[in-house]
Amino acid sequence: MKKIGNCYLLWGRWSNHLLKMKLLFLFCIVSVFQLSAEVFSQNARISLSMNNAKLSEIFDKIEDLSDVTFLYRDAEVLPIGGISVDVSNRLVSEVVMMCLEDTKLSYKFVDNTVVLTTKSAKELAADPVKKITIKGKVTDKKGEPLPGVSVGIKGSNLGVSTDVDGNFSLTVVEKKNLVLLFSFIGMKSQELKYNKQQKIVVVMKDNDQKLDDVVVTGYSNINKSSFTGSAVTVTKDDLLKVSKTNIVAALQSFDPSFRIQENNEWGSDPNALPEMYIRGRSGIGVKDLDRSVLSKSSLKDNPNLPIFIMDGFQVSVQKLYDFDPNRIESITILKDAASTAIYGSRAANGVVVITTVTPKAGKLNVTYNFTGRVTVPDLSDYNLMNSRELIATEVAAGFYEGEGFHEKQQLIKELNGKYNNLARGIDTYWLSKPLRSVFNSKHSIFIETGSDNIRFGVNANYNKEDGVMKDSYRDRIGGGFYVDYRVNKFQIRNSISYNVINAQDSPYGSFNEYSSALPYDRYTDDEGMPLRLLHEWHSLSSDRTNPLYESTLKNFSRNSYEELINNTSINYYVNNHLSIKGQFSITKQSSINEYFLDPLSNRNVDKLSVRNLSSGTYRETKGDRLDWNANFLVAYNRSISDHNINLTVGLNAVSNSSEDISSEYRGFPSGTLSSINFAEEIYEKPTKSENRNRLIGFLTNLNYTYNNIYLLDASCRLDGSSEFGSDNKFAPFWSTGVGINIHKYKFLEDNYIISLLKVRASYGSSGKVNFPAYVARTTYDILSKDWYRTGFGTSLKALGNMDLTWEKTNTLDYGFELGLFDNKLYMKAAYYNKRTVDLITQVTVPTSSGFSQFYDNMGEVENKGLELTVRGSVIKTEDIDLTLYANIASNKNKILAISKSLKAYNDKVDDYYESRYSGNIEVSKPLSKYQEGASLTAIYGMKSLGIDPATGQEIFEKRNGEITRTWDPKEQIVLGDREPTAQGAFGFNYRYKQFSLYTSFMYQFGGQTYNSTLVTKVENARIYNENVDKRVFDDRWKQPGDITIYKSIADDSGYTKPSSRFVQDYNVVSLSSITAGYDFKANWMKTAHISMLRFELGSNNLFRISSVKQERGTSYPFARTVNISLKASF
Amino acid sequence: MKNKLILLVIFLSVIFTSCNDWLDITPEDIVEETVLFETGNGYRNALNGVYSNISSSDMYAQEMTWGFQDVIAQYYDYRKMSRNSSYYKYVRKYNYDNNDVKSILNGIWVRGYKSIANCNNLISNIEDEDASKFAMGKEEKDMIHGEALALRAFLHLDILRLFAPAPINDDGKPYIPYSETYPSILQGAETVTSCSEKIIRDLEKARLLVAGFDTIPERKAWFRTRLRIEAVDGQGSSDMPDDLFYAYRGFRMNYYAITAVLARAYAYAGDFEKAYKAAEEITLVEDEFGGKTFKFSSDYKTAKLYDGVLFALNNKKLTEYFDVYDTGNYKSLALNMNGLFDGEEGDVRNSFIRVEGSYRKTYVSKKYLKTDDTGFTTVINSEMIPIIRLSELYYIMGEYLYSIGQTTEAIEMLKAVRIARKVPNDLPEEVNSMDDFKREILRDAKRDFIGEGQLFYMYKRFNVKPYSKMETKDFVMPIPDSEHINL
Repeated sequence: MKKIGNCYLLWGRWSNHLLKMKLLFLFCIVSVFQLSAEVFSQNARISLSMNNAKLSEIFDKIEDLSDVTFLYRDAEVLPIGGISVDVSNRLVSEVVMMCLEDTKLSYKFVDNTVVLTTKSAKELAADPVKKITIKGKVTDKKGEPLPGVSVGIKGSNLGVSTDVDGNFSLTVVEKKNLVLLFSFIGMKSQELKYNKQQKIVVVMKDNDQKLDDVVVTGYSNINKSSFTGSAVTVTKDDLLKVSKTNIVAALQSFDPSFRIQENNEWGSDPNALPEMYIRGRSGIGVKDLDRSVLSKSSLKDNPNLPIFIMDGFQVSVQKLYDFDPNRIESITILKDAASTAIYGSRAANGVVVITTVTPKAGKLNVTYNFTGRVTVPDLSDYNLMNSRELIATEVAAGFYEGEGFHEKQQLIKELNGKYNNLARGIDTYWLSKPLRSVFNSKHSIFIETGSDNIRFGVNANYNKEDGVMKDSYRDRIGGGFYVDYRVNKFQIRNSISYNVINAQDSPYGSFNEYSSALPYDRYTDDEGMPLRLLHEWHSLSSDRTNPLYESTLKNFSRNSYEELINNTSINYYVNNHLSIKGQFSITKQSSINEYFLDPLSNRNVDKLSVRNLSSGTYRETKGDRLDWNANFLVAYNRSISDHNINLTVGLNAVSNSSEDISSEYRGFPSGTLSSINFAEEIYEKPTKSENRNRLIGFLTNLNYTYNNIYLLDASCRLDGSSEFGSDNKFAPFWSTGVGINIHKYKFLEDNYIISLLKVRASYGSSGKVNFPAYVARTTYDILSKDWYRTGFGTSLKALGNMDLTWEKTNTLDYGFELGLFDNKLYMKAAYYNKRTVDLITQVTVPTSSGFSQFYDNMGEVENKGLELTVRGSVIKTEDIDLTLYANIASNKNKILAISKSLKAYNDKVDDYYESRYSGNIEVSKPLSKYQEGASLTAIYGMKSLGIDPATGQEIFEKRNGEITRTWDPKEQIVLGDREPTAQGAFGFNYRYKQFSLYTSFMYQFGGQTYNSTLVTKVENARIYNENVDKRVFDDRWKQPGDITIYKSIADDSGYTKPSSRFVQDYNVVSLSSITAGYDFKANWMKTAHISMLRFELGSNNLFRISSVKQERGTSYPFARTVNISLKASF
Repeated sequence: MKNKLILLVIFLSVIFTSCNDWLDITPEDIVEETVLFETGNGYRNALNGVYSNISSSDMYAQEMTWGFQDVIAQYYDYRKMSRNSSYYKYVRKYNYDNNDVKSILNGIWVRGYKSIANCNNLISNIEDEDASKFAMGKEEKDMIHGEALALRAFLHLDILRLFAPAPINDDGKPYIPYSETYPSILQGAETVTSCSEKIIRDLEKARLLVAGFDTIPERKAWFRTRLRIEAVDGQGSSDMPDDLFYAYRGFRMNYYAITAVLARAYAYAGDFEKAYKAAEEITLVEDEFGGKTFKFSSDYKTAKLYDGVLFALNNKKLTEYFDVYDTGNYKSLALNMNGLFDGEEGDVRNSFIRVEGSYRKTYVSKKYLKTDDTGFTTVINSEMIPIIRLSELYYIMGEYLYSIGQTTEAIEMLKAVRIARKVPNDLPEEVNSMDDFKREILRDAKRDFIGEGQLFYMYKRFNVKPYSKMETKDFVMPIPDSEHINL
């Protein structure tokens, strides 16, 4: 509807006859109801909120809301726009007046009609319009002037920009309630009420929302209070309190569901990469029987590993493990479907989003960090015998009671030899031989500078990490350059970094060679040189090699990689609501793995001898990787009255390709001549392996809130992967979450007890791809080497499974957040149920299929659990601050369905025990089996009733209750579960003035473990050939009537197969971290231009109490660390 | 608005299809099935691949011929063998628990079934394939199809003969799976009888499929030794196939090869009459001039006497593999000459044995020895792995004739081989019973099959132990652990 012209003055044109009629009709009515109308129209009250609207639109709206009609000329009114009104319950006349404030129009109420006229020159002159000039200056936080800041008047189009010195001057018509608006890209927009200040000084703040209040999903930043997903955010400061060097380990303290798999074998080996999982395990991965003994972790096909996203692109665990924690700004752990579904096919195990530090504007600022660590081996779990004890035990075990004169003579000679050594004082403490205490240092420096238009940052770090086993190390050197350029509505960022990692394994070999070595052995000759072979006390099937001998040789096992990463992003801020972001990152990595065996080494397959002249091996694998990742995102963020919308639509494309070439050379003249030029031959044709995969995802993510009370999250992603057969390339993933901020309801608004109460729930599906490329298709190898007489041939490469589909995890998650007394007491709880369906697993198949294994979707696994975090601020004054915190998580894992093939694997495990020679140590290890209803981490074995006091033999109970003396693999049952009932961390954070103390304890209880030490070092201890645990002598059965838990000391019937006797409850508490710090605040610092100086003393794994006493770190011992660190800013 | 929507749909579909293409990664070092079978040529490659696969040293280039198989047939001199580090010394004692021996058996099993899987995938693809894809149309399609089917049956037969008891000792239990589909993961083991039936069924079907190509009159010439094996034609070049794929039919499962394997399968299953008929069919085939197509060698130039070979495989490295055992002072695969040519040293087959040393002589078969001669026939000879030869068919025919009482005719069959091998006409011992006749067949077969792996199967079929300490159970190889998943 349009009103045109002024009918009294006949200035305007009638555009429409119909209108004329309408007006006439109106006049009639108006005249009839004149009185009442006057009252109703002018004094009617309306509420109106319109943003940046046209004047005519506002009039239309007012007409809708009241009985008022407008009369005006199109030419005068239509061009006027950009008017914002936000009023509630105001008089119509007031509203009209506000709308016309900056125009040349005046109005008059004629009954119910508002007649608009242009002010005549006289009127204008007479109007008490006073122009005023507002002057001011805009600076940043550090007081540096900010040029280019746009300064405007709220509700009008007027505006200027600040000059080079940050000054502005703005002339406007004076009016009431003048509000100035300051905005600048990358900074928080500010409003300022003009109160006739002489000079306005505005300090702009960086737009970085406070990290605590934001959930960084990697594709968008969502206000925490409006988010319905389950996420944990860790800031840099918190992270550094726990660990200065190991990000991954530190995360455990903040999220009880994030756990590193305990690596009992590799202990504190700096080169053993951690394996972790979030909220339980859902995949089987490499099964026990297929596991390679040498690998330190099975990261490659680990089906439980979360993905790590650093500044928008996926990085490996290795990258994170080698990353300098000082470079990290924040880490967000996303756990449920609502938060992870935008990562679609990769998100099932959770997503860890990492953002790195970006340079701030301002003067040149240098931050330097130093951390020095003293690391000492932790041998408290070892309980080995000395020479005297061991010989006594050997005697007691009856090894010197031979039959026949000759044999007796032999044995007496042997025993005397040992006594002789003992008499000569030979009592070698082997454990200390390959170990050392080390001091490691780590330096990192960050230099930042720049104006608000352009900022630079340079960082460099050096971290030398020597392991407690001699000559094992991992050195990390890296540097990077960062530039951030802002112009008009564009922001261009580029960061480039280069890292080199050099690592070496200890040439001393595996630690268990030392923990099993005999203390009464002489290991050096008279000159003090390590012997090649140890004294042969009695005949053995193989030579007794001296593990220390290897350390004198030139063996090495090294690996190193260098990588170059470039990350570019361009943001285009179309307006306050809409932004477009393009991001491209590329990583180039080249790695080399080298392994060399000295020709003199005992580890050579073909040892040097009179008959074999050449020995020594050199193996190398050279790898090249090229990964790139591109994101294109459009974000729309707007509040319209009570509605708040945060919408992201985007595209994500990932391409990874890698190539490895392995070659082996044999026959070297000596250990020092290890160059391949000296090799006698190249052993077999070098092999090349190639791996490429691509992923594309279309994603949308919506976060909507109404009134800040009702919350909605919805996201979906369509992912396509090159790793699937053509029928199943694409799969959709989605999630939705709802929540209510109860504390925002009116009735709770000023409640002094409840300051936060939020309930939320989410459901959705995500997936994962973790299997070698090409397994979903039937592919052929070209038989390049063996041409047949009638031409070349091709042969099936692998059993491709065309039906392979995406593994999906459906997660239901609900929880609440509660804050009491101004959030002094904060509590967060969540319950989740994760159901993984169509599990992709490597399945062993009978070879009559032509293959030994293939990949299939099979089975269902459920993880459900509870998480609870409590944080309480006990004291909070200016000087003292004490916060206590605790978290707990409980996860229950259950296999819901397994395939026939997996059942077959169980039988294979049974066969394994049956077919292996019982003297093989491998049969003593319990192997995982998979049963519906049981956990993936269940421990299997046979139920034992203990040791018969009469005979010293073990008695078992069958499933049907029958008692037997024979161990039968078919009678294995679930004896326990490695997964604890609950686990978590607790601690406190205390500050008194400049002094602070932080602790973090970790605990777990309710799980079980299989104590292998008791089996291999006590019960089946090879007393005659290896050193053993002290418990052997005291606790084993010796004579009828002895009530013990260990078999007879004279029993040598082979290794004890998995028995419930060795399943023990595993409860642990450890002090994972303690840090004391002091912040210097002194006057001398100012003169020395030091803006910050902090000194810290801390320790990791200072103590550990466990209900199970077993040897930990069998191949590489655990260590304790004390560290000092210094942080200074100039 | 509508236009915009259409544009959007078009735009999205373009994006989507281009994404799909982008996600199709063609690996550098492997070929996808769909790509391979896009052309008829791909089928040829897949078929060649099967022949190439089974011609490896873990099957017919070593273990299933002169290696494992001949060791358990006690061809070799154990005194020489035991002085070497070769694990054949455990094989010789039927020590199937030894890990090295296990790995030989596993190699045969895995390679055998992998080749069968290759056949099965080829068969399932070719069945619905349009004949126009193939260079020679339906004839070629049927030929490739038939050959794959025949190879599947042939391989199952050899696995059955190795890993299951001979029908004479059959206990009716299931032993090996008969794999007919790709993929076949949950295939259970079947009894000897059931496997035999399926082998025969497949061979009969395969024979019909290749007959269209092999048995038409124009191809008679293709099966003369000159063409079948040497791919040289002395009697008019027009007969020569001009495509490598059709040449060397003797190295492929041609109609006659399949028929010969069929005769072998019938004989093994105990259906001697059908075995006889199949064998006889081959001996009666005539070439275009009315002469016999398949006849025994008469020039005795090549150690493998390949005129009589009906089906052979080929491996360029064959002599290299053998050479490993023919170095040093003690040849681990020196023949045990005891009872091999006793009194009949004039046998032409005796001339194909190399004798070294003066005091304790070492005898090594010349069939797989390296040679410096690069002459064409020498190369053919040295790369060839004879799989089935005419003499076996004569033994089969003789066995049937003897079993139905035609003893004279039966002995004639045996004599035919002996005459062709220049052995005096009279048998060294009297033949008065079937056992006597079998003994004479074995005597001759032992000379004919040196290095070819067939003798063990004959011992097994006749239930005759080649070694006094051997037990009946040693005839049956244990199924490898890799199969034991008990699905």
